[in-house]
Amino acid sequence: MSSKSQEVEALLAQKYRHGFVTDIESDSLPPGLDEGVVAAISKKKNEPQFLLNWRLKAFRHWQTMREPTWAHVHYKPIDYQDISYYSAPRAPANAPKSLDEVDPKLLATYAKLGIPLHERARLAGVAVDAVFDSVSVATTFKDKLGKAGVIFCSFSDAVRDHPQLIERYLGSVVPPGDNYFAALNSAVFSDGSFVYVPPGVRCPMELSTYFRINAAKTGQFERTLIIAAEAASVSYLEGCTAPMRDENQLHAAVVELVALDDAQIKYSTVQNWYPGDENGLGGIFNFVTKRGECRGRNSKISWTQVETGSAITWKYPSCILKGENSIGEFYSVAVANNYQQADTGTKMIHIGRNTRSTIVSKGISAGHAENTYRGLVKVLPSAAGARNFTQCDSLLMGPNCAAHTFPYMEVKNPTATVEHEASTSKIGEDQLFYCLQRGISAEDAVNMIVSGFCKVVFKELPMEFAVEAQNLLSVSLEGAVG
Amino acid sequence: MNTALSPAAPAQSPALRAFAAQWQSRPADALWPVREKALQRFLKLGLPTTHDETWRYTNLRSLAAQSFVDAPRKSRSDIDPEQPLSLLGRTEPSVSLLVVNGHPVMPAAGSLPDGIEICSLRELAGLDPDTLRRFLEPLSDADQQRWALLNTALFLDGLYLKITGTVSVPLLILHVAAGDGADDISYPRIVIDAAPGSSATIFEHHVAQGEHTPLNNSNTHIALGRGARLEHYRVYSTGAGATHLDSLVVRQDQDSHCKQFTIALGGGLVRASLEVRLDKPGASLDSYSLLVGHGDRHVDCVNIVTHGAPNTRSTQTARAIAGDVSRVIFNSKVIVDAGAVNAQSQQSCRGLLMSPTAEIDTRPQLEIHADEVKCAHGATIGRLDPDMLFYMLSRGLDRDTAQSLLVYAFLADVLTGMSVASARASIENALIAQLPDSQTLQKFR
Amino acid sequence: MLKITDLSARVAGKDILKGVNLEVGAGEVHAIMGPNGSGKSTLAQVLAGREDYEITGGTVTFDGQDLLAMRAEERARAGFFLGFQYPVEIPGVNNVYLLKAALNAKRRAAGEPEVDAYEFLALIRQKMKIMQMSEAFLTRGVNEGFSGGEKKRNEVLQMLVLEPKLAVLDETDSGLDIDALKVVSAGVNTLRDPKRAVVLVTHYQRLLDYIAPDRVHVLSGGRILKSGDASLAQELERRGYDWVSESQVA
Repeated sequence: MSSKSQEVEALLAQKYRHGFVTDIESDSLPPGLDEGVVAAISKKKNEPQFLLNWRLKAFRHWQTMREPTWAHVHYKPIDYQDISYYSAPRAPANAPKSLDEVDPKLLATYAKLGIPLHERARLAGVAVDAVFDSVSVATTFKDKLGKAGVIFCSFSDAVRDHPQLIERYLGSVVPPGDNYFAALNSAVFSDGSFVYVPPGVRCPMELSTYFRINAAKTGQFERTLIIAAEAASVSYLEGCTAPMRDENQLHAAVVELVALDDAQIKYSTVQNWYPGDENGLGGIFNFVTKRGECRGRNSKISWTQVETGSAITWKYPSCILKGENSIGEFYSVAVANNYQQADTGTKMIHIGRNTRSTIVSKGISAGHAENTYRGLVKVLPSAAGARNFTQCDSLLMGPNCAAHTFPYMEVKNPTATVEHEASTSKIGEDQLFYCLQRGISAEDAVNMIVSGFCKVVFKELPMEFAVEAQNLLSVSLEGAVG
Repeated sequence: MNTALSPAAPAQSPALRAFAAQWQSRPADALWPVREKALQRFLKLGLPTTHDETWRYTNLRSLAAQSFVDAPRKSRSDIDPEQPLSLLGRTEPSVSLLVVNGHPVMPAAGSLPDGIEICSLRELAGLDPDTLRRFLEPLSDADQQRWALLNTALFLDGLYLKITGTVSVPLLILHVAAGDGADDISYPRIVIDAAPGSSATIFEHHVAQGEHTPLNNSNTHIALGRGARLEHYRVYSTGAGATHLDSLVVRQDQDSHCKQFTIALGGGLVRASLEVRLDKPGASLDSYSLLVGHGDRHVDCVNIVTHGAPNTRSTQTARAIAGDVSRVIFNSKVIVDAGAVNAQSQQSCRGLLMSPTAEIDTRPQLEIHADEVKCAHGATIGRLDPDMLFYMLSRGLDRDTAQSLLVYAFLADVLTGMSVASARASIENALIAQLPDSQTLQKFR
Repeated sequence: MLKITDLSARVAGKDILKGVNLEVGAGEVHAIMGPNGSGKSTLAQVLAGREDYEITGGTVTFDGQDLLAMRAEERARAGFFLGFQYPVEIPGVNNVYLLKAALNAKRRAAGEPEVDAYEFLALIRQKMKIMQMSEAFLTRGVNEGFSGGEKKRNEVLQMLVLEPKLAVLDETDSGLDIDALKVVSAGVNTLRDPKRAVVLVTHYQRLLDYIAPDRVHVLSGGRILKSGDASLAQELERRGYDWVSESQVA
């Protein structure tokens, strides 16, 4: 393989395709964080008193907390006073009331991203809520969803229009003091998406949010809350990009899912935040708390993620399996190249009887990257008959990368069955050689093999995302032949 | 890393004050600097809390309030002669060495077989401090090593075993813990220095006698020279009141092989750590852990195996059983250093929960910094397979018999690895005695 | 010998058996046939005493005793044998040990002396010859690493050693090639005796070419829809199971 190393080095200089900056006037708060800033955010959004109190409580708690150090990631300390906690694209009037009112430059940005807001062919059937920096700019397909009784809107609109739902469910899965980054988010979150699917309704289309961090020195702290009422079901897609900047930017989002009796939520993520350059300069710190609670009987929450971006990923989409017979799933592909660091995995907390969970994690490391799977399977004494199966495989490409597997299994019920399998190996030279001998280029061969390695996860993604994920994967691994 | 003594300031805790006081009573000898360094590091780390990743499942908070004192020095005549002195049975030729509260009772000259020389650590510190110093340096700065640091600082005596050739009979080191008071602590320390090409089988058997069992902060440090072979057992058979904070460190040279058994049959709280470095090409390790939880026993086994050179190989086989309100923990980490190509590692850990109030926790971890490796692990926790049980019942077997057989089968992968037949027999006996239908099983063997 | 009356059972909340009636006399061989999912295996497992099957109604008497009141191991000792469709592998438990423990458990229950190791070995060697099994089987774990065919042979071997009064063989013919089928059939035939009975649960008629049944029953939808003599099996082979279900509906 040594003959290839030069070629490899050259190819490793991967390009980040979404790294442009949009020139838009934005309305930002100056960097810094104190109770005044928290109050200012709340005021800018005309929030009810209960929400301001909630934020302040979270902020005060956050001040007593320490940044977690247990993850297998290394970074220079974050100066939380050097971040702007609010940045909104300055619209000519107030918030846009329809797509026509949205700043054309913004729309052009989405077009560049390949995420049109208009009802174009490719996205037919997908309703998009786009979060630009911290503010939700537009939501499509409102009417069609409205007819079905589905609420899909920006978090701010939900606060205004459905405060009772917000008050009831906000923080009910991820309490404001849950962890350092969740507490920070609870204090300063600026916008996000809200979904409520009423009892018995199957959401008639895939819902989708596209996140983008644009402004410099800005943190993004969005908050997503999805509630599937009794026997409701919804599939939600989330995509993320950010421009190339030399400094690190913080993204500390919180996603909460609630599934009531017989409800199903499928949450898919394709995360492609700017990962930094080939020397590890810049990139997003993606410190995200995602958690779903199967609150009702026979409910199901399924997380699928394809993580190719971010300088550092710290993310554990989890399921609390409270309802009897409820099901949690986690399917993940995490790719780390150059100097990226990923510490990602899941938590499956079995509380109810006969709860089941499946974890499939595929980690790919290349360049000088560190890729860690960290997953907890916990079976409480009440979870009779609980079952878990976990499989996590790591693929190493190149001699300087690292792959780690840190599973935690904690079982307190003797009728439970918990199984874990893991393997770590290099991309098979035999397989590579076989492809080369058949005239396939090294790069295509790697793509084929890696796709095969990840197939079991990709097949969980909705069709239109699977294609995008596949493309992202090959871009992320350009030239990473070991 | 903490720069102050600790955020919770446990320097103020009676335990840490007691350790510092013990340190004041230690003689100033040639090893003072390395031992003082160890103490300082220990005090800096403080007592572990469950926020420490490697102490997540074991809470030692109650130790903080204890004002520890050195366990008394005792002689052979203080030891109850009825004590089951041998794990190996009377038929197996073997050599026994007695260590009471960390103090060795030296055997008569000429009673040792060929291929082995021993001396006490106290002696060695005077005669050849440089050799001893080599065995005082910690293998890594892993947090889990903190109790090894304390032992390094405070051990009073111990045994140095130099294996020079092929030792034809198993060697049994019997650790007797016999305290006078509730605050006793002992620091047994064993050094095994295996010369290139040597081979030996060594047992360390921990037993207790009398009303008070000192806290056992034991440490064994093994170095295997090129091509050396060692089969090492540590067996805990103390009572429910015993606490073991035991560290075993193994450093392996080229083509050496170590087979290591950690067997927890007793003890109230057992924290058994194993840290192995496969330092040179061709070194290999087969580690076996058999962890049995009963009553309210707490057994926490932590392994770290580092592949530090190319072409190294390791396997870890752990079987944990937890009944009653016990808790059994098996943590294992395999680290493959950058450049350690062709490393191979296998971890298999299986847990069997026998009661609704017991708990098993396991963390089979991999930390891989090289791409040319083959590493895998499998872990399961569950109950006896109901299909297997039904199959046996449908053939007319008693439920107790069927369950016992299945438990025995569950442990077979560890038991069959044991080369010393008599040791296997007595360990099996001890295990079987704890199963529901021990009678049939005795026949089965 | 075996009398099943209105037997109903459910598994995981689903009704599988919905009133099965069947009577098997000493010296008889019965075949229970039926499409997949008809409840054949459930019937076999229920008779053997599997706990996760819930009996919702009916009675079963075996040799005058209430079979359903007995635990699985008591049924075995009373002379009931189930040849499993999917014999489980039990690594670490020696094949021959299990057999010996099973035989002795049965003898103890009958107030007979246990066999010693020597006698037992002689017995098992003789039975293994019938089943054309190699000595290597003795030292392996129960079914561990056995092929499908080897597992089925092992089931019949166990039956020959335990000499049950009533053997229910669940799909013992599936996964066998023609030579193995002959061996297995021969094994079963050696047990035919005026004091014993055999119930063959099978999907195909093929097995019945080698073990001639006295009665054939068709189980479908949790009930016995039709019973007849050996010719019924041939008719089923020709016309398929739909014929029975349809004729029943009509």
